[in-house]
Amino acid sequence: MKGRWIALYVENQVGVLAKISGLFAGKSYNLKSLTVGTTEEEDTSRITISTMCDDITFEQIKKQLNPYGRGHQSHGSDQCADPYEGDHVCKGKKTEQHG
Amino acid sequence: MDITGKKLFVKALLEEGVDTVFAYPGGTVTDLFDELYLNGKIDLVLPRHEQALVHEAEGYARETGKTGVCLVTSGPGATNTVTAIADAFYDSIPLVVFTGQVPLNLIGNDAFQEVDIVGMTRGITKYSVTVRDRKDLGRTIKMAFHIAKTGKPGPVLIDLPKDIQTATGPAEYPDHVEIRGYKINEGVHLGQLKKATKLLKVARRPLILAGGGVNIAGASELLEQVVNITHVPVVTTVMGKGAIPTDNPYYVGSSGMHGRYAANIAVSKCDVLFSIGTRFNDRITGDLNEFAPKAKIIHVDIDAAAISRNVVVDVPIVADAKVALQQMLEWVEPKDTEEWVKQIAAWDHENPLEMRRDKGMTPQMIMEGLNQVYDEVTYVTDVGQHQMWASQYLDVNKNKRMITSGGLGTMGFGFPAALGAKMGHRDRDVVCITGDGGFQVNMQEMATAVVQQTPITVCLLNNYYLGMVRQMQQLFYGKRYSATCLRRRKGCPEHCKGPNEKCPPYVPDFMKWAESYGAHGIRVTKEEDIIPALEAAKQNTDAPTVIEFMVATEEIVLPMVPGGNPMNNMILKSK
Repeated sequence: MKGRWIALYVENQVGVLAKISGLFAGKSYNLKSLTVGTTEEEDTSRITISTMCDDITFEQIKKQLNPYGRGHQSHGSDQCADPYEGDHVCKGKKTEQHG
Repeated sequence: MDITGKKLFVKALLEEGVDTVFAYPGGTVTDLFDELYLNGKIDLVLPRHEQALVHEAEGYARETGKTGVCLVTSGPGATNTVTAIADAFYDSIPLVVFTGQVPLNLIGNDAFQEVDIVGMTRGITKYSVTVRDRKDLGRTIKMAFHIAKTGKPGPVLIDLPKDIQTATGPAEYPDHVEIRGYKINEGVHLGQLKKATKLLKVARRPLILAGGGVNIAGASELLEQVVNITHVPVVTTVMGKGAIPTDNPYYVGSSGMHGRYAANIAVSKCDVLFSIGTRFNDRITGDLNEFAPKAKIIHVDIDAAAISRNVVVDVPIVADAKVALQQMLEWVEPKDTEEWVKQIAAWDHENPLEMRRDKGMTPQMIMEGLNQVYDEVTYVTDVGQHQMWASQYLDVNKNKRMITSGGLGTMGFGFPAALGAKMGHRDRDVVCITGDGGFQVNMQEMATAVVQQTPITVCLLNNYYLGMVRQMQQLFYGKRYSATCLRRRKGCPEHCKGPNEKCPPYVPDFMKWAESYGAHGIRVTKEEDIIPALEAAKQNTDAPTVIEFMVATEEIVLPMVPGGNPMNNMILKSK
């Protein structure tokens, strides 16, 4: 069990937060914190998730988020201090050490 | 020129090639019904309950390969569909379900017949959405049909507020749609598949586990070709039944909780398990720690999330079954598996499926009768003991299909789904195999069957019990038949010791009941009457026929792996 972070970019649509939080509740994934807000691109929201799980569950969470996000990549990082990698769909600054 | 939402709705259905809509009207969808009436090109099937409505659409979709389309009203109309939508979700059946909704300005007011159906179905649909702007309507419907049918198929729900249906907006219905983030795996990772093929090649005890995904992908012929070349034995899941013809010499049987002894032992002893189109449901794996303990496991599935969820696999391959098998076919080579096949045959000989001849008419005899009477047929089963006997005994091949409710295990699925299948292919024989419990969950659909002129045969196995649960009580709860006897009345003794001559009569009398609908009824009590009854029912083309088989009451489905046990730990004999 390790703390993990996921940054998920999703379509900014009604109910999208319910989808993601519902997934965590329905599949009994651990949720430590979840924040959501619009990005500088109006049609995109960023959801930042902190979770505690083992490697296999973490893989599952990422796969489960793929279609749900109906949007963009989810990025996982083992340690909260790591910067995120990969192409972000929106140009949001890769900032801030989460946590 | 702008058109109303309802006009665009009908236009969209026609462009999607929809010829049948399973529909139950109500306050918030009257505009859509009116437009369908005026248009007149789409057949409306009016069932008697919205749950059955969606099951009918499921049967129709499974039989025809098309997407089933449902239309119901808001509130109770919508909530009644929930069970069947979940059923379609677990069995990957493509559906588009339209629900009416109160006008936008009333949403959130606890208005009359308002429910948050999108919220309720979020976890049991591939996508569910309320259309909140008339200009989004065309794109949303296009998305729905696209999502329902592609990748791993499943149900999509579109909630249509009443004012969206009447508002005017763009007339265009897009011919394709791009959805950000919705990616379908169309190819296959060649390196991984090559690795899998090699593993199969070097294996001494290889086994293929085929699931429902093979049937959905239309890959059964390819699978058979691969098997005929490689000589690798095959076991199937319940949903995978028919992935290879049951008379293929390399077909062992279904595996799982009520699987064939040899099939389950083969899974436990194989050294390479090539599984395709199955999500390793707990009914297939039993105790996960002891599932295929000696095997390298290859897993081909279209859904990335299904891989290494239940069973951690050695070679994951995200691909459509058809694409993967087609590619494999180019690589596979003949293989000598004779010794292994002989070993499996020896296990089968040791513990074949049990068939009792000493207890009167048993359910297994009815399955044998069906095998004899039909050459071309679609069997649709309900859920319960009869379903397991059907999956154990029925011959399934290119001409004989089987449709069943596997993942959710919905009692009440069989009868309406059989009607839907018949509506899909009216020239084909459709036989519903059901129990007296499951049948009564949706037997109001006899009215639909009669008015829709769908002359199917219903094989109703009446054992007076909710047999599958009673079987568990019989085996694990000291025969304490808590709420499983369908004859039990208020006046019965508190603790019943099982059926005896003082038991109250069964209700309803299915023969009188069938007659009241103008349907045919045949009651069968003796083994020798099975085939004549099936033949007689086959001749009835004006109305459905209910054959009530009065089967041995305390028969149990064997083998049985008690829940949570490893697959090689089977109960084999009834006491």
